[in-house]
Amino acid sequence: MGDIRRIRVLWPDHLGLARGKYLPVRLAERGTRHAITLFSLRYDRDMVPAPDRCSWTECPTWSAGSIRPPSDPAGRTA
Amino acid sequence: MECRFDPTAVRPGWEDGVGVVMGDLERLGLTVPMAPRNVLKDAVAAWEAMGYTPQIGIEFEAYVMQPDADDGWKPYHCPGSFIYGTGPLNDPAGVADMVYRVADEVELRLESVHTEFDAAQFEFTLEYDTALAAADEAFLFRTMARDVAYERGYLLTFMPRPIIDRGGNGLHVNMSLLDADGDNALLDPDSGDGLSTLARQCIAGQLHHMSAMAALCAPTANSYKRLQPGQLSGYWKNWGPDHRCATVRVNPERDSSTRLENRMPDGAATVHTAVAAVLTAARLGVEAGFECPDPETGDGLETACTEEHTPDDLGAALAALEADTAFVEAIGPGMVAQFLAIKSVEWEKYVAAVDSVAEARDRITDWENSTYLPYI
Repeated sequence: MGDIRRIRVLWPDHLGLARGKYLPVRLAERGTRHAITLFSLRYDRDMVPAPDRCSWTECPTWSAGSIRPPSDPAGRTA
Repeated sequence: MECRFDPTAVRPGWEDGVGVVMGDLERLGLTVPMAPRNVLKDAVAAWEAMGYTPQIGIEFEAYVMQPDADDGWKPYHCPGSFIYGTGPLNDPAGVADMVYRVADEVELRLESVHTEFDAAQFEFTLEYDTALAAADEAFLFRTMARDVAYERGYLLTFMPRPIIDRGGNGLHVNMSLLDADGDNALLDPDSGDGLSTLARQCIAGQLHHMSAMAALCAPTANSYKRLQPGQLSGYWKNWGPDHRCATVRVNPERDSSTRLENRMPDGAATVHTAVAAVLTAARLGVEAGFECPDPETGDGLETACTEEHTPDDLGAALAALEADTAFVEAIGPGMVAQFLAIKSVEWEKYVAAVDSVAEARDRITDWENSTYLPYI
């Protein structure tokens, strides 16, 4: 990528704002993650409950194999 | 949710050492239905299934603002400016000029830049392209332009009507359709005005679904300070050849550049969503075989051939969107449900902030300035 040292990944949200992140070039292929709940945000950062018709309110399923060791030995994270 | 992008699509950005790229949203392996880029992809795919490739050209209008004495913003001081102006008299500090220079450096393809009707207002016209590419380019351009201006101490605002005694900021969406041979399907040299039946049905669809489109194309309480009679915006439910007071304007040329310009959308709209709304309404007009009304014969300022117009305010626009079940089903019920949930609360907040919606129609409220001006 020549002189590019950081990637600014951008996408338009429901308010017309340019959401995104700065990422190091070395991690580009991983993509990144955002909290889907930002689609419930208004300009003033208040959150609006998701309407019933939105399927994105469903919780993801997880499996035992997805549990990863924690940085804190007292717990585990899935 | 995951944000994925193609690393090979990273392009030079406007910050030192930073490349930019458009991201796509997924969750649990599925596209996120509320994401505007996905909404537009679906709208384009529906046209492609009919054998047409949508082409889009975007025109932005925006005001340059400079700091005032109260930690706020006031219009850029340019007393010698005039419409279709260029040079230092129209852009004393070179703000628009710098935006143009940076756009050139990062290959964001501008077709023209000039001053608009009122002092401190500029128009930025981008080159046309396929719909998604054009929307992406417009989105990146707006982001870049605001960044560049802000770095230099100015606010470039695309807010629909930030200054009550000056005109509003539109986001004009120009559409055309290429057929399977790559020819402009809006043309018919054998028709009286050179427009094809397809073109007429596209116009009819945009007018038929105009009230539903309004919420997505003019999505703020401030938007309806622009969508009023005599504002050179898409207020009346009309269309016209080279008519700048018609909601759908058709340019006078009859060649590959023939296009339908929807003048209702404003700068607060998400570009991808506004383009999707225009394309969806147009497609519905074709699928239903709507008859196109006669073109506007009045000036659209003091006279119009119709009494129908955009909703009077955001609340009415949201109700109109919800009521147009055909449009909602076509553009994406999941996206619309979330949009209505967000915007309904926004409208309630605005109503609570003003003594009277009718009284506030002719002024820009403190609520609008604090809610919208920092972000749009």
